[in-house]
Amino acid sequence: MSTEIEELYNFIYPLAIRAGEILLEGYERKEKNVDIKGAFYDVVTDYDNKIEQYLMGEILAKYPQHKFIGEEETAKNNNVSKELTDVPTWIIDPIDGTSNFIKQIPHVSVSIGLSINKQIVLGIMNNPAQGKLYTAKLGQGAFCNGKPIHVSNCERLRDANVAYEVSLLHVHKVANKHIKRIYHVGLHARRMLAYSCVVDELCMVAAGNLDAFYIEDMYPWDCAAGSLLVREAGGVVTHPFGGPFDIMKPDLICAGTEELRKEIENLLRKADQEHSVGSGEV
Amino acid sequence: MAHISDAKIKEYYDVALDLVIKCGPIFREGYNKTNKEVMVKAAFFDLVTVYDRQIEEKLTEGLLKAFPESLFIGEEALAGTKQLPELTDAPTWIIDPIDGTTNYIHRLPHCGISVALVIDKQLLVGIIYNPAANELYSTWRGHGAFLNGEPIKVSSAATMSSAVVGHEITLVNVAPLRDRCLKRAYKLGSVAAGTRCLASAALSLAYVAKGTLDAYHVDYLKPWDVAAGVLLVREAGGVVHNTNGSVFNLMKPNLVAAGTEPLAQEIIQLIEQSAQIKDYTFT
Repeated sequence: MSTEIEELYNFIYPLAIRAGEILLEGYERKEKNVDIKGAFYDVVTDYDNKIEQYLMGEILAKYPQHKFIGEEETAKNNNVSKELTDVPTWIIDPIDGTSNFIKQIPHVSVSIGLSINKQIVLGIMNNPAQGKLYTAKLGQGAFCNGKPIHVSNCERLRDANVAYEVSLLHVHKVANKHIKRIYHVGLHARRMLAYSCVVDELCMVAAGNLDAFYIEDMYPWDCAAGSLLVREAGGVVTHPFGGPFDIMKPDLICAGTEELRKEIENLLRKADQEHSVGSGEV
Repeated sequence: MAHISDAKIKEYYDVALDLVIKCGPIFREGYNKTNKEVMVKAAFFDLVTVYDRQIEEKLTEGLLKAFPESLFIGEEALAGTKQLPELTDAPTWIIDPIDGTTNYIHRLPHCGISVALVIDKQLLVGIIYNPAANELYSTWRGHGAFLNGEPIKVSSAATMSSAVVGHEITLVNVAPLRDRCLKRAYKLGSVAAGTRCLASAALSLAYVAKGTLDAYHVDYLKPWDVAAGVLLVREAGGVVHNTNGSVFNLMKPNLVAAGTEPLAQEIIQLIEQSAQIKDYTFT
């Protein structure tokens, strides 16, 4: 199996580089910087499609039996499915951080993950806005631009840089859940940060730039490759309440250390037990 | 106070810009170190490194040598003092050697050297240099704002529904601000197209000047965190007000900065409304 992974990695690597170049071209276009809604959502869709079609086309040309995880509504061929099977399956996000892509906030990424026998065996994430290419193969460590990376050894939230998707307050039906959780975690964290690019946030945990990250309600392609990178960098990735991470429903806490991860889990549980946030004592 | 000529402001600008650029190597050396020695200042969320001190010393020395009339309001020089000095009409350099120190320590490229010049209590020069991202923002009054020598302009987003807004959710860990911070995060977050929390006021303001963020709000900071950024936003065509809608006060710099006046006003109103929130159950 490891020669198979090696072969697939060598195959996908230049494609990931090329996909990053396409992404960067779109990212650097000046005329996008006008309005986040409206006309230039077309630009996003354009580049999203370009990158997706490029990668799928190249992969299927060489490996016509491979599958992809995607949304059935956008499925263009029989190789796309909503279910994960044992067959080699690519889990790709052509552009993660679409608002950042539009605004030129340098947290954008092409994310490519590969699953074999329902296990993520390789991941490549390319953030061309920062010139960072993150790579991992199962059991072989994590890298950024070819140099080994490692999670931080931060064990306490008090010392930690934690990312939380604060933008989720926009989604009315989960606003209460998140305001309570933000309150409890933010209370104790040295810094709480928000970047709106899940893929890049996972990479930042793997590289030790962030000490922990929590997210829910994402798609498999947001978290598949990144979850491998964090583990290969020495970190932990679990379901928010401590159970195993599930690629297909990728709710997660990831951190450099289990101590920090557990501290965050306990605070999420505490938050969920409250009906609402008061301005009461810590 | 004598009228300051354009040529004199340019002189201050040129000398300051040169000095800031010369601090680049110190900044980079510290930034690239994985194990930096770090000291905790007043509170657990307030950190400093030797590089902060080295950069502030180099800037202060160089500016004093070129302009002996200078006064200084600098983060490290004032560390440990309880009160800020009074701002006079004299030429005063307002310096943050590394804004976004926790980002700097973690090698997150949202940090920078921030230098501003105030004379007659007017912001005249503003420079923010982020060597980690190769971004040098600069402005001198009346001449627009620049990034790496190219002119920059704020965005034209006029409503929250089309705006990406920066704010600092991290301030929820400061007890006296907790409640206010949380309520504002909710109010802004529920209406904006998106929110970002980057933990660097200087860079966030520079991003507003560049149009990368449509607006930025922060309270509770110090003059050196925002002085250069405020001038950049204004010179790039944007507006900066006090959070409560009154005139921005550099020495007590609670602010709302935005590309457009309507967006700034909408944010000011949302913040005012947030104070009315009594019950946090948003179901």
